[in-house]
Amino acid sequence: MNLERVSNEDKLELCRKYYLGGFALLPFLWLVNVVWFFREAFVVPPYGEQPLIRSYVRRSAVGLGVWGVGLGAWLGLFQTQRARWGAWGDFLAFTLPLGTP
Amino acid sequence: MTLAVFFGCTFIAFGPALGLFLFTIARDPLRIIILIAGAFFWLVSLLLSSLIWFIAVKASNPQDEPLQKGLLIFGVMFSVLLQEAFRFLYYKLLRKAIEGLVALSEDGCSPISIQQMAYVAGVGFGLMSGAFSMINLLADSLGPGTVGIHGDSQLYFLTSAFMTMVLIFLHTFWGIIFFHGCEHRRWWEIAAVVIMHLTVSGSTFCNPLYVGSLVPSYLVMATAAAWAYVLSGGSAQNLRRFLLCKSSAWLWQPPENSSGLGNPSLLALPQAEPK
Amino acid sequence: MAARRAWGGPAMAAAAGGCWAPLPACLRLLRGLLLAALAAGSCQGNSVERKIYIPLNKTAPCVRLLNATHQIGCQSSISGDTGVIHVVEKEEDLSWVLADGPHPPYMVLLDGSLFNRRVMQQLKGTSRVSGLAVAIAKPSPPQGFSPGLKCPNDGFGVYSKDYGPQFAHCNKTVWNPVGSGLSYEDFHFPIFLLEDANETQVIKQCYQDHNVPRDGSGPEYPLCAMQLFSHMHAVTSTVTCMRRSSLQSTFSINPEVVCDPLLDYNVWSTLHPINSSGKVDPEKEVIIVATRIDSHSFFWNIAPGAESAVSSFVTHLAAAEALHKASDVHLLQRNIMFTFFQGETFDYIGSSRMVYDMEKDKFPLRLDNIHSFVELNQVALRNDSVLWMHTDPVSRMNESVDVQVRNLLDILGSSSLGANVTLQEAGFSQPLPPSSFQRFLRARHIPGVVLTDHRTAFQNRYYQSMYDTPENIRMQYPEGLSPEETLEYVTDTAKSLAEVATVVARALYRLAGGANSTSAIQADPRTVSRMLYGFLIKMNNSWFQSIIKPDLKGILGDVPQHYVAVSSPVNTTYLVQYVLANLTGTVVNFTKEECLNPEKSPNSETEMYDYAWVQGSLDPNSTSRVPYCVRSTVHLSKALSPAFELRQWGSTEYSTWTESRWKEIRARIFLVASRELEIITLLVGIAILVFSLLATYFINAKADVLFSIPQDPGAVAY
Repeated sequence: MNLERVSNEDKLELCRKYYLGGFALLPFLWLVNVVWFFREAFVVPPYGEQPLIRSYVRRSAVGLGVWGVGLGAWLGLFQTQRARWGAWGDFLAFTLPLGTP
Repeated sequence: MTLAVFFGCTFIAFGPALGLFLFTIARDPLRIIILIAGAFFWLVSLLLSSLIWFIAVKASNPQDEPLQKGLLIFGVMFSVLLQEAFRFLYYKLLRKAIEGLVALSEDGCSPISIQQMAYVAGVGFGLMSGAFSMINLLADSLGPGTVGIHGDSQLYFLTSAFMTMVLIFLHTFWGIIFFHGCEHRRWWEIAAVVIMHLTVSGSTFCNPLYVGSLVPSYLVMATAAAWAYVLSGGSAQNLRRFLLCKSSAWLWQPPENSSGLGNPSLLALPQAEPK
Repeated sequence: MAARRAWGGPAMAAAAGGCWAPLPACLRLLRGLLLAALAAGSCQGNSVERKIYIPLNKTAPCVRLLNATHQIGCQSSISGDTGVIHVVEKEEDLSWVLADGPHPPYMVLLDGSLFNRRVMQQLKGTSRVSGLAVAIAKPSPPQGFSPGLKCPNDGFGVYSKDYGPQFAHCNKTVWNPVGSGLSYEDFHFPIFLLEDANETQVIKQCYQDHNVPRDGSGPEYPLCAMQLFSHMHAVTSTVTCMRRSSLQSTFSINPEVVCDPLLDYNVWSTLHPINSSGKVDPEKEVIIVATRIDSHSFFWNIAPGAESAVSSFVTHLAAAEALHKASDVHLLQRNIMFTFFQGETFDYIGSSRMVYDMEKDKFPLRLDNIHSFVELNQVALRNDSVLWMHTDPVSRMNESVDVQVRNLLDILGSSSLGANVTLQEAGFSQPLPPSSFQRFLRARHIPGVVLTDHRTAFQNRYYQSMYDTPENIRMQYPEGLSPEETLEYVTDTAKSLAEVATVVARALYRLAGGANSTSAIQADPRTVSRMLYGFLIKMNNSWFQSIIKPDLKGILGDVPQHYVAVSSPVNTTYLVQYVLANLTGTVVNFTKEECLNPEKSPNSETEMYDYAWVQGSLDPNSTSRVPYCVRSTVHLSKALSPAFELRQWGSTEYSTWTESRWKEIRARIFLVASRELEIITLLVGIAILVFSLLATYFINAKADVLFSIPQDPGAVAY
């Protein structure tokens, strides 16, 4: 969808939908929100709905950051510590390397 | 011999061909089609010649060494002749194709000339020939070992890569010379191409004395390059101008060295597209 | 077209469509040619690969085995371990590998005489070793070699801190003093055995040509190297690997099982037929005769086990044959069960399973039915023809048990009169050696005796090693015999084992209540000799061929070895089953259909008997065989440790041995080039690539300068 052809109200509505959708454990919606509306929020000359769009983009970025840190921490922890967790590590893992603990 | 050798040999063998493809062929879909069709023609010629050789080998006594060597020489020569025959067939096909393209075009001019087709067909032949020469070597070069435990030369991969590079170039130049000879009914040009091809293929029987195969091949390549350059509208004067970085403003002078048929620029890009 | 193999053997599978012009005849011809090409072509080995690598075909790997708490054996990395070869023939050569050599890691080619604990500890402790290839030592090391434990099957026998603690953990007697425990260590690099002396010579020649330092300086590239592939999938312990396998089997679409329990079948047969699917009355008494039929060594599928297993079960088979020939066996008061246990090497898999089945009523007999127990352990290396009788001192402290044991010993002693066997008691101070009887004692105090050729430590100096070969039990054949003659030749070892078998058969006859004279009961040395030949030297002989089923011909192909393995039944189990059927069964006049489907015939009593349609021997002047039907009381019972039935993978009571799975195991040698040459190749390639890209760009940009355009600028084509 080309944002240039969309009216400002529709843009706000879209941004809001993506922002709210991200709360349903869907951080990628926040990622899309940030990437897609970044130009609209910060680069394009100001228009009526821009402050709201800007706030949504900011909040999406914060949410994305939290998810990123959380997932990154969990991934790092799992990759490095799974071998020491014994049975629980095996239950949590989807696929296990052959021949290594 | 690990990744370093794999990438090194790939770049040596296919680097120049990659450059030719990227800068002169990739942008024009018609040239890509001619390239792939040319590669296919070479493939078919290899299929037929290898079939003949395979039948000959299976029908003969595998223990008889001189016979097997003789069969190999026969096979190589037969394959060379078959490849040149398919090059001729491809020329015939492309000639017909030009008529079709002229009919389809809006201004009665073919979007691509026979010389450009000759060059692209040569690259096609060369690429497919190079692929068949080199791919299985590259696959084995990924392993930890190098050639030599049975006494072969250690430089096997390197020399194969250089040989492949020279072969790709040679096929390109032979394409130009061959099509030129077919176009102007100069049978001695066609014969020269066949003889050069036989010489280069024959010289590989000197392996593992690599100086006996690589040096003649590079000399033949230099000869063929010069000849193809001249046939494509080049001259020593143009070369000097190029090397001295002069501009092209002087090209409206009557060219004293041009071949009788006034070739358009071989490598020039969309000049030749229909308006 | 270069004269190289690029267009070798197989014809190419190109798409059909040579002719541009749509001539149907042309297309048909090309299609026909293509079909012929595809049909005729068969893929041979890649000839460039043959220039580079020499595969080593006759090798045996060391694989990973796991039990409840540990992993043992060897592991390589997933894409093989590579190292520069260094030949170690004396201890001084090790310093090159461990410290001095300039091209680590090294792949050590170790002489068999140096394959001991001290050298292995040194190799294990360094990171400069990427693998090991052991050349088998011929002749066997004179000081003995045993990679087994000093105290075999410790902790799974009867002696523990609750029962005879003074005998537990070999406190009183170290049974295998030569044992180094190498088989039970965990190595992080692959170890292979080079079985073929020719291949070993090829490797040494390559080493001599390329790897030996000359004129004081180090060896120069290219160097001879070896790569070993033996990546094992299981890790840590049986608990972990079975858990992972069961998780995969339950939840995954494409399950990846990583280990398998060691399992096979026990072979058992009774003198009087019993209903194998029913239960025997508690009043009926049975004497159990037992031997083990498996062995082990450091390397996978190499377990000749001449003294540790074969000598005992061959004697047992001969005794069974002798007993069956006695005239009044059907009148005997007690039944005799001849049992051949599999998997005893690995903490008594077979016997623990049989005891478990007896306790849980899954076996026709119960522990109550057992009157006494006679076991034959290693019996081939008797000193001064003395055969030792071992009993359990702890259970004999009970008066009633002691009386029965004494009776048993007396009967055995009296059976040896007239034979060249002297039976002596090992004494009260000696515990039982590692034997299947110990598992039965754990469940019930049965009177029993274990017969061996050693009183304290084993006479066998190659216990559970690759050197436990026919030479170890002094089997010698004269030169120049054909295979048939060798099969029939009676060695001294065979005669000695036949005497032991005679004594055992006579004793069993007496134990079972036989009253007549036993002088007619004689084991046949010719049978013993044929069995020894078949189980130790060549399985594919005419006698074995004649007694097996026609569809099992394939099991007679390999060099004989007796590892329990994970796919069952193994060759040894089949052969013991068929030899026992042949020696103790009767030929019945059934046709092939009746024999293969005995339930359809009346009077066939399929629960009591087993019917087998065997090949029969070759007619002397023809190529066809005369098959016949054999009726016997031979049955197989599953020998899988109860730990796996109960899913108690960490059990300390039952054996928990598993074997890891793997994808490929192979070895090859080749030359490696120096790092500098590789980097130079890469740099030359990059330089040529960059240069050609630049040159092409500039030529293309200045094409109008290089190539003169025609006088008429409009004419672009013809």
